[in-house]
Amino acid sequence: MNRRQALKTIGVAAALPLSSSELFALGRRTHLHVQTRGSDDRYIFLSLDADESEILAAATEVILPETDTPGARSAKVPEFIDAVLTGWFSDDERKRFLRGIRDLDERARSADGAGFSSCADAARVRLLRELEAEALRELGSVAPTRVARRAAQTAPGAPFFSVLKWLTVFGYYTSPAGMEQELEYVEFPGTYDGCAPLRIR
Amino acid sequence: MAGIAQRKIYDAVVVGSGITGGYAAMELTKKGLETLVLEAGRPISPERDYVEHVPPWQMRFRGLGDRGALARDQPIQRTCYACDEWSSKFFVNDRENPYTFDKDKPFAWIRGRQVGGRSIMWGRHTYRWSDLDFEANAKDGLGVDWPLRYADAAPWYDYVEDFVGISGREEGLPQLPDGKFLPPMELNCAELAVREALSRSFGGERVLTIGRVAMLTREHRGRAPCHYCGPCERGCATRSYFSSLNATLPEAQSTGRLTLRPHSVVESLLYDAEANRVEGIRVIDAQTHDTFEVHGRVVFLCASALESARILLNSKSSRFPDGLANSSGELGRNLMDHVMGWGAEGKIPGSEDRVPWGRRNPGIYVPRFRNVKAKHPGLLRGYGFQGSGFRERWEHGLDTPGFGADFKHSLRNWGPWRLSFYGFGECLPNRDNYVTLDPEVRDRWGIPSLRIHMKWGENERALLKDMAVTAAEMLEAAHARDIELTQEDNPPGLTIHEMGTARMGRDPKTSVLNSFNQAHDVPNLFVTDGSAMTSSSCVNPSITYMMLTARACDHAVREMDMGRI
Repeated sequence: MNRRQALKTIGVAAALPLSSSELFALGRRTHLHVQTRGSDDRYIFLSLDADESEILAAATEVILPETDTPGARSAKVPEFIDAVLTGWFSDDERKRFLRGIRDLDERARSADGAGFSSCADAARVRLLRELEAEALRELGSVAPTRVARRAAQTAPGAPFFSVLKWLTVFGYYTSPAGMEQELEYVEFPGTYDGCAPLRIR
Repeated sequence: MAGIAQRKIYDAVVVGSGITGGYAAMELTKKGLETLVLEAGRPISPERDYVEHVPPWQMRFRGLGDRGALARDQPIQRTCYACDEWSSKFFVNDRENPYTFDKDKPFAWIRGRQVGGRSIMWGRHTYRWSDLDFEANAKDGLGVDWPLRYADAAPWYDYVEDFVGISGREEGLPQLPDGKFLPPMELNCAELAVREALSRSFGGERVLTIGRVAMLTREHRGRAPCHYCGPCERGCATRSYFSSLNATLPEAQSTGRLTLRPHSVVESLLYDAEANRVEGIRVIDAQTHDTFEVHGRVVFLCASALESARILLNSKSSRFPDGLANSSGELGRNLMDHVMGWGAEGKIPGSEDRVPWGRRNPGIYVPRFRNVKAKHPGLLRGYGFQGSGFRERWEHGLDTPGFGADFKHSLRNWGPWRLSFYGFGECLPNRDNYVTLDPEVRDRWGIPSLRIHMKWGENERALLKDMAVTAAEMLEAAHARDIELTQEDNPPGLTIHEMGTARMGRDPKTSVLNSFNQAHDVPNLFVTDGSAMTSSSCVNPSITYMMLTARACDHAVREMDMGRI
């Protein structure tokens, strides 16, 4: 048995791809078996009702709005958050988050007479600023280091605004829109340069 | 029983297909031996199972991990950094593989049962030992003396490094001998700045170098160089990092003398008192639970320090009532793991207009400097640092206040340059850190589980504290800002460098293995995984395990040729 056959037997890719386009093709081929489950276009919300998903979508869009790249809503961040609420959060954590959405809507109604999803942009920003200030006050004393601060703000038990922002930012920058359009993520860099010139669009 | 002939007597049987099992399989088959490798876990097909290029949006929770499943099936495995939503399939199910410990002595046993073992998810840092390590026990009067020295090891380090492919930089340090390196991966701006600061401030005593890693920077023996995609622990389609699956097993297979049998859980070794040899191996088929026996002229245990000890402890006979090859009573004792988790991190000024291109997985290394030249009054032995310079991308938005279009735009820029130091310290050999078979608990296959008794000692705790102090000193020397200490409380085991449970030594009364990893008591039994370690050094151990394995294979074949095995 030669080396190439041996590799095949044992299941290791025998080809030796060297150019980045070959690498890319290999990567795509190698991982074809892992596919998204169906199309997100037909996503059915499981934890959020129509009102709640609309309030959430409006809130995520305030946090990461559409600019020259898609915003949180068209990056399907609400769908991701619903999946987290459904399959990742505990019952208590989910209920707390849903209360947070309702509370945000209540605040909008008592301030402006309209629910969060139909009030003016400026009002939405003002309401979320209020919530952010409350969250930061609540977190203020807990976190002595950057790592601890990060952990405190990215936990299901964090204040509602922290959870909302965490899941929005995380969901957006792990989506195709966030990674590929907003940040020009390169799947196969091919080389490493530890001090490359910075380019900002 | 597909694929193996039960009546057949193989020249060699290797238990385990991880980093040492794969190496033994390659060496023994290349030397002409018909070799059977028994692997407890399932086969791995890179085309099906490697997932390093699967983007987060194709994962159900984008990489947060399936929290419910992890809590239910992998409550221990998930504490390992590499056990994430992509890679958790390479870690065992804790419910099927129970073990026990006293409440006040938690131990994290991180395991991978599959063809390739933990070599699929290992950290890939590879450092030679020096005589500072091999002579340590003799000088401190702890444990027993190593039965070999660097002069014995060096040619075998050369030999394995030449096959494995190690990228790294020569530094000429006596405590961390240079090897046969492929070109080093590059340091980034922050790391270069700190390297220069250390050389200015510490006069060569503390050195920052790029990690020496089993990752290719150019084509090597038919394997492609790293393409810097990032998450190595998920597999590597280009076989750029070393693992059994990527390197040794294909090589062994190509000799035509390898039989690899997955789903083969070894229950015990069968001892023939008259001939004083391991006569057979009792195996349980992981899927059918059928029991069968296989036979080999020589047996290599490469199942990992804890699994190999467990197999030997479970191999009882009238000659060896306390476990095979255990006349010394040292089997299962002297369990060690590196103590890790204290250090520091800070912002490194400058180079704001520079960013890393590509995702270099391994970071930097600061070799041990304690007790190298001058003796430290409060500490025995020492520690090294891993770490890295980095600039966060969108992640810094997670704890940066604000939102909206400006906030979003600001995340196109990168966070400040930071550099982290994370210490890994030597663990002293101690008879009171030991494992036994649990009298009640058994695994899914009915094999007695281990009861692990291990606690960090005073010296390990002192090393941890010192790590935070010296890491902060080094960051200060580099004029870092906002220096914050890292102070983790990690249980033993979590470093995944567990070792020492069948130590080598000169005296059969105080050690299990001789200087060639051969059981003092039973000549056709070799143990070449972490079990064999007489002391722990502070460096990542896998290359030393491979060095010892290759050396032991050479010795075994010579002994077989001379008719002594």
